[in-house]
Amino acid sequence: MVLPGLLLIVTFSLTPTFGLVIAFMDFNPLKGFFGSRWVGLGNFDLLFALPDLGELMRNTVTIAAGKIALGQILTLIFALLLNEVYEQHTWFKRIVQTLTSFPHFLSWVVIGGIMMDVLASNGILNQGLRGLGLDQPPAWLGDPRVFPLTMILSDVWKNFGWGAIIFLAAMTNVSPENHEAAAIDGAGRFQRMWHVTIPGIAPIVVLQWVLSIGNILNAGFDQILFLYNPAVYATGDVLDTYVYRVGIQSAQWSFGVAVGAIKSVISFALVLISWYLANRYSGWRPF
Amino acid sequence: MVKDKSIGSRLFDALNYALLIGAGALCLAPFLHLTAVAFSKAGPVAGNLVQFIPIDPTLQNFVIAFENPRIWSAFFWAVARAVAGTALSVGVCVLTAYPMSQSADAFPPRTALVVLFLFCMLFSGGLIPFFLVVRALGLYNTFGSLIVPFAFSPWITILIMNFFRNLPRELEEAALIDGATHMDVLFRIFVPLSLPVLATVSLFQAVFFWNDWFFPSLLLKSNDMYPLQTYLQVFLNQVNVTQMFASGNLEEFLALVSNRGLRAATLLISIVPILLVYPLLQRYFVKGLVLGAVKG
Repeated sequence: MVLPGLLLIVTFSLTPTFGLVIAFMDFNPLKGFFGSRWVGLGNFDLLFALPDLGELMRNTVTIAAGKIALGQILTLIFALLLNEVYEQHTWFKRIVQTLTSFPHFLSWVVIGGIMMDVLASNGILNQGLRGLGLDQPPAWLGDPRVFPLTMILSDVWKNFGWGAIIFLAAMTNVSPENHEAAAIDGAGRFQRMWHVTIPGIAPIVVLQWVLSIGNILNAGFDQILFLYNPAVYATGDVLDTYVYRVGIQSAQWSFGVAVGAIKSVISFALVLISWYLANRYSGWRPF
Repeated sequence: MVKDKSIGSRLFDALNYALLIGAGALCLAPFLHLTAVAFSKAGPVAGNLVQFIPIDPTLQNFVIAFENPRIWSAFFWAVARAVAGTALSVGVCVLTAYPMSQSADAFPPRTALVVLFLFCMLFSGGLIPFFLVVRALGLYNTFGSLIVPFAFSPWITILIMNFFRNLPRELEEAALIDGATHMDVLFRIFVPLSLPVLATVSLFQAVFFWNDWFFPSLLLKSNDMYPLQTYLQVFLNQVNVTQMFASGNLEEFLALVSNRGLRAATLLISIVPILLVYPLLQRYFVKGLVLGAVKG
């Protein structure tokens, strides 16, 4: 019974990991895997000699870390606010959740298509900003200084509503007695949120941060691939998009694999570390 | 929530509800704007006059969007991929999950397989070796390339396996003693008992297949098999209403339809299927989060 699954995982997941040895070759598809020439660390020498790698790393980590940090913080704040809605206003809570969760289920092409319209230089967002007195609103998708921020904000916008669900579930487990006791002791609403709700869900919050360590090199491949353009390569080009552009579109197979291999190895180590920490501190297990 | 009628508490509520309305509006506004653009004539759209209400309302953007034969074929391939991909992948994952749900004594390869699955979840060869494998197998530029490489998911298998492990073992033992095969146990006992879980993972996979636009662009050479999202990606970047002009007066046509309006209309059309199943998605995706939290 495991045969179909085994065959598929070996073919499409395990074999490609062995394919990483292409990074040590001058791979030529015409000569094939066995006919291509070995070049040892040649591709890596070339890679480390180029200024691109540092820039790619910096772009990748900036965008990914920005998404993690801002996403975690805003999602938590949003969940805290939702949690303070009275029980008799559940309909209100549900409407807000329905509206805010929706973008999570759409593809980056659809969201990106909407962004292209809304964030255009004369788009509705910039019209609004001009109305507020900002004479030169940013070129969200065209200015390399702004582009990483645009990626971070649009990702947070897409996912904060859905992400709040994990925190909300944890908040329902905070015992109401603690809230009542704090209220009797004279704690205001904000104080209760700060001293009762937040400590109550702290383990989940910490777990989310720890598990996101593994994503520090995942800047959002299909989002960036769809929305970037040569004008913003300086800050918007990340490891994944570079591998795709150089490795596949320009057919520099071995060089592309070498870049990808660096990402695979670092990500592997980071995920292992995050799983270890998550297990150590909250007994979390992948299964 | 504890009742509290103090002024501070009321201020807190006012601010809280205002912020939540703001958050809801922030998510709704881009869709409203898109709708307004899609229903407006070319003039006000080009003049950036349209905000959240259509100006000079017209349906022409939608008429042109629907007249585009490519969008229908893209819809067809998207549905075909989502249906075939989901069926194949849930089938394969269910088959794998059953022996994996047995103890290592009853199914000795279990430990080795767990290690393999974990390794493959954590470490990937990356895009290029994956692409080369698909090509070497002769799948490049076939419909199969859109589903077969994505059919097995260790993660989905683990979700199903966890659920199987919580089913009473006595059911399985009794059936085996009565002469049932493992296949009978799986398909006559385990699967019927797991329908809510299977619905959840099916929706996970269906949404993945529906929303993935990148892999078809990587694995298909000819774009006539592009599923909706992949076609949309090309369309949004090269839309040109003049090419959509069929007959009549070009000037009148261009007064109604604009590139931006047509883009908006096509985007809205592509959102409708997700909107229709959204209540289901919300419900079952929450279940998936709960499942993921269950420890096997």
